[in-house]
Amino acid sequence: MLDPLFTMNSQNQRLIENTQRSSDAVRTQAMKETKEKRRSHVRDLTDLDPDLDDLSGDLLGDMDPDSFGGGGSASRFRQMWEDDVEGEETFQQPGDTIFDEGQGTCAIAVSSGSPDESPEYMDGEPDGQESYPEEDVHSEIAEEAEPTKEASEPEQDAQVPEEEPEENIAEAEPAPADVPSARDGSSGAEEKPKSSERVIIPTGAEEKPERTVRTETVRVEVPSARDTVQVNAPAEKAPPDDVDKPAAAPQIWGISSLLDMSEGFILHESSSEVVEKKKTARKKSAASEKVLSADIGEVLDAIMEGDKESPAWDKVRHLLSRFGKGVLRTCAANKIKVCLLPGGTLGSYPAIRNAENGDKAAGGAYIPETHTLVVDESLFDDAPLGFHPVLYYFAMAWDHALGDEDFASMKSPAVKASFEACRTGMDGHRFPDLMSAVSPVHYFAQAVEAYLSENDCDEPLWSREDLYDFDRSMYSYIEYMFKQGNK
Amino acid sequence: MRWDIYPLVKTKDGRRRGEFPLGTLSRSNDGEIKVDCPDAQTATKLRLHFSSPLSVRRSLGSQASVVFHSWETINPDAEDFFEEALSRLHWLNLAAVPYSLS
Repeated sequence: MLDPLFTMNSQNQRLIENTQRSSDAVRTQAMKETKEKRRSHVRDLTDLDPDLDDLSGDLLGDMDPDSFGGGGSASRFRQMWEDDVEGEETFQQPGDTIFDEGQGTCAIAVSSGSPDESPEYMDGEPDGQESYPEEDVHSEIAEEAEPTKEASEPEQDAQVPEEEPEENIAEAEPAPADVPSARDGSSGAEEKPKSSERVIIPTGAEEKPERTVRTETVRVEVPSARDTVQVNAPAEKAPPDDVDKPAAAPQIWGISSLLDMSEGFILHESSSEVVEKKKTARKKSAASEKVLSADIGEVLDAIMEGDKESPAWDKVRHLLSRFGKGVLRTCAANKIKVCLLPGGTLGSYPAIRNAENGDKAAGGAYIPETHTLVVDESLFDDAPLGFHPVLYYFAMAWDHALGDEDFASMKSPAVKASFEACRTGMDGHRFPDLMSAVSPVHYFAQAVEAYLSENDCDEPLWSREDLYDFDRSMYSYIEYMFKQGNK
Repeated sequence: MRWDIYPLVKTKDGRRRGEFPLGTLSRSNDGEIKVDCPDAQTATKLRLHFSSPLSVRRSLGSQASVVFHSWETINPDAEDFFEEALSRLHWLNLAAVPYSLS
């Protein structure tokens, strides 16, 4: 009568495990369990692998000098190799017809069809942990390499009992012919030809080609599997069939090919393109300024006086349009006038002629008494030097319009504070030149001219960028003024 | 008077004064300008800048009558030449800071 509580010796245990391994389904389940154990890194190092014939090999694996205290990349690579390739082969049973049939495909299918599991093999195990001893791995590689040696299996099986005394675990029961013994471990693969399928492959360079081959096989399939997950595969990796689909590169998500220009995304502009843009900026601005809105045109017609047929007429209109419709209406409401004088007649204008050094007047002037801005047509023969008088003096006119009888900049706390900061040399504040330091009126007019300038002058004293960089407070104040004035 | 010459460095928020000066600029009472810069190229540019005549604008008239301007060319020996030249150092991508403030 059999005692229900019996202790299974290692022999019985091994027999059962061998029987289980003969079944593909059970074997697959065992593989999954083993992988789960590897992932959780819960592996009892003292647990003896029942496949081992040589117990010392199992213990030796823990004391393997390659992994002992090793943290180098070489030892990690070796560990990864053993886990990725050789670990799969421990489940391969030589001499098993069923196993042999599905041996190659099973190993490859697992790695390629299950991308989730592949990283496990890619990452390997932490140092110090060997999934299987080297000897077992070597023998398993031999089994895969020559699965056709089943005929000589009975001969090799006879050799197995000879090695049994070396093991602590007794293996008296002969292994069946079609189920090779699971005794894979051996101190040296050369010493123990186990079965006909197990061709001893000594450690060394000879194994490496096979290993490399397998590595390539596994590694190549893994990326392909991943590519199937990611729909937008790069064009360069696509088979020739995909070459005929140039614009069909999907842009669903994730990585897109740098060669795909279907969206016309420009990564950068070359320096030559930037230079060309600067050169053609004036021409484009002139072309675009020819069309003014009806509202602005109407206001400009109300404030401008002079020869409408003059080529400078439109240029003055386009310059003044930069102030905005609201600012122009404010100036028109305060009876600001812009008078376009014929070329060379600025000095003969009554108000200027009567002023001291009136003959030296250049470009334009502003007469506060009559709220009149006078501009000489000769100003537009060439690009003006340093600044544009039309913008400068109309800013002064706007300042005068805001201040009713006096200039608003003389009373504005913001302008006066910035002016004082520039005069004292405070950091972040400075005058463009000495003329801007004459009064807050000149300071405000120059700041507005710099704010509205668009590559209009030769050697500009201050550009818009200069105003932003060197007098930020005034830049912000003028920006606010234009927003308020053009609401 | 002495000024420290700094480079103008482009940043995301515009140009900013560099952290370390490139050299110094001094002006004696008699108007002599001295450039002290280890970098030969920068020193050459500074010397050329402070030795070339400048076209400056002059404010004429008054706010009571008429406001206008004129252009005038000044030589390096002029009184206001040094201040005008200092205000245009950004053309050389440089900035001058009084030694007391640096």
